[in-house]
Amino acid sequence: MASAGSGDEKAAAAAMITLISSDNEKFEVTEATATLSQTIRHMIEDGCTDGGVPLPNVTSKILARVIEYCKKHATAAAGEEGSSSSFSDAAFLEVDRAFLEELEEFDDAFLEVDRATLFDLILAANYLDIKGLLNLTCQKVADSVKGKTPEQIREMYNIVNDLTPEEEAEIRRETQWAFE
Amino acid sequence: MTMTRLLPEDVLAQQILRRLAPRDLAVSRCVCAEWKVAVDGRRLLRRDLLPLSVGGIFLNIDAQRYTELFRPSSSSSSSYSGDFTHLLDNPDTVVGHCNGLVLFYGCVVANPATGWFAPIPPRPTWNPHQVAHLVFDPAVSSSHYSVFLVNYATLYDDKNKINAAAAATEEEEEEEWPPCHYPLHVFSSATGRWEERPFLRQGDAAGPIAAVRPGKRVDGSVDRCFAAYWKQALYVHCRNNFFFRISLSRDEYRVIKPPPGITVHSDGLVFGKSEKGPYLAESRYYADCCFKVWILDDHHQWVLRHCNKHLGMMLPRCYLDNKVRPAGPWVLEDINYKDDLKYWDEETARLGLMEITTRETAAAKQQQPPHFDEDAGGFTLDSTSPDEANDDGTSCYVHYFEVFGFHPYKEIVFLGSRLRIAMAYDLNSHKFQYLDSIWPTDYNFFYGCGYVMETFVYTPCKLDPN
Repeated sequence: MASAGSGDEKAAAAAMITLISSDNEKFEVTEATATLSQTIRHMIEDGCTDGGVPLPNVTSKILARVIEYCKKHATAAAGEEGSSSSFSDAAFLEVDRAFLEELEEFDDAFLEVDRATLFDLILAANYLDIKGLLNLTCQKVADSVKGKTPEQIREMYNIVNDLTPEEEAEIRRETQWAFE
Repeated sequence: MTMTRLLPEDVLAQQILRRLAPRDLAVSRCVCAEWKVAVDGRRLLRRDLLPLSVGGIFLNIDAQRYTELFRPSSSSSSSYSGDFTHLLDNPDTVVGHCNGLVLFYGCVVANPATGWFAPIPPRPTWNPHQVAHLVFDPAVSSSHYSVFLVNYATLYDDKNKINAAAAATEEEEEEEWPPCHYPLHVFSSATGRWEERPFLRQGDAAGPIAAVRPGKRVDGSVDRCFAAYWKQALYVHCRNNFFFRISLSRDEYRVIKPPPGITVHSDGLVFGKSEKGPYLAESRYYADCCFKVWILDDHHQWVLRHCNKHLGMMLPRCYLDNKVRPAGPWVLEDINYKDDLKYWDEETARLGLMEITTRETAAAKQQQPPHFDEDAGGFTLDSTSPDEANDDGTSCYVHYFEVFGFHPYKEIVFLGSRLRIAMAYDLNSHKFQYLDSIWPTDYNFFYGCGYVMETFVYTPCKLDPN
């Protein structure tokens, strides 16, 4: 791992976790990366990660993306801890700012996926309990709904309108102000 | 593939819909049955916090120090107050309102429903021809508000007086108004700063300055420059009876002509937002002319909505007598009187005088005010023509009205007859409801003429900007 601190390489190598996707692919990750997932963190705490962690709800394609996200953000978390001690140092703040910007760029690029992948990421983030990833992906969906009409939302997400015209008219009437 | 099948209900509701603004939540309820259940089941849409009902009218009455709030006297409305005397050093005059936030002249924005207030930096420029308009839409984003400063100085002859120069030159008189790029000062609570932005005009100008200069006002008439927020645009009634539609998403604006028959000299027009968009009404109405209300349609054309040649109501004579008048369902807060009283109490104590215990206060009215429930449609008094009225001296036909403003969600106009009576008038049923007198206790005609200078229909909102 090029981005990890060289001094901790041994320690990091000692704490590797194996994640197993639904299609039986194995992924080796550091504990710091894996524990961004609260679900996996609890498994580690309970000592039931020997022989790998099976994740029957996550395909290898999605798990690879999730790990990509966790690696980046685990590094960010480590960086934040490291710099907090010298908070007053302007140079460090500058580095922090640059790093946060880079992280934001990473997140934006990370979200450039098709709708099906986005939903799979949401489901994985929900199942693995990765707060940051869940926030990021759900905000993306929420943003896409913003300012749209019901018709546009249905079309965007292939949602079948199961309301009768009368029901829909009634619901609209209840909140007429929203359709101005 | 559908979203609902892909996402469990709790993720949809708690993780996605929860992030939406009220307007988008209301739209989401219409998408399909499951989305409606997700929004309603978790009570994500808090309509009770939004400015969806009328909580009264702010009134600037001449010779009164503070703006008064005239409001329903029911218990639900006691949760807010227009009295900021205990919070602000100088809660002077309310000069603007938008969706529950009020703008004080002294550059303070406040929320009467929560007591929240925030000072904003002083206006970057000052001249008597500027009007400030507040913009706040908690259904889209409750975090921020903005203030638009529209400057009409170029329309006036005296614009150069400050520079001690002569009257406008011929060349200036030929200049078109408004300009292609209208510079507006805009304050944004997001940045905390005033910023001058040139707004690009879409469509034609109103005309050469000489032709669109505002007419001279009759004594006692008031320049009421109202604004209406509608479909995420700010509509402004200009001093010369033209209108602007200012886009809030792009720095663009459009000029809208006044309705037929209204000229730059017409005065006493009242502009506001009601059920179907921006509305305009004649503020002064006497029995010998027609009370007109227009609606601005999507093509920026005025459509005559209402024309009533016999606007007037029979009112029992006692309603016009302050001493015996029955209480209406609304009440004037009487902030000015209460503040005076406080001052005199302090003076009395300071001078060691005996405390005056028997004092008639507005609050001490023993009558139980009638119950007021807007939604139950309590329009109790019918409009009656003079011929139908019994001329036995017990009733009186009221036919002088001025418009105080519009109900933002129903086609109802608030009318007043000087300070004596205020009422609601339904444009559809032509029925009146007597609300109450707006006569301030101890109002002194020595100082004031009883003019209602400015009015703002208030819609309480329990959401504060960040």
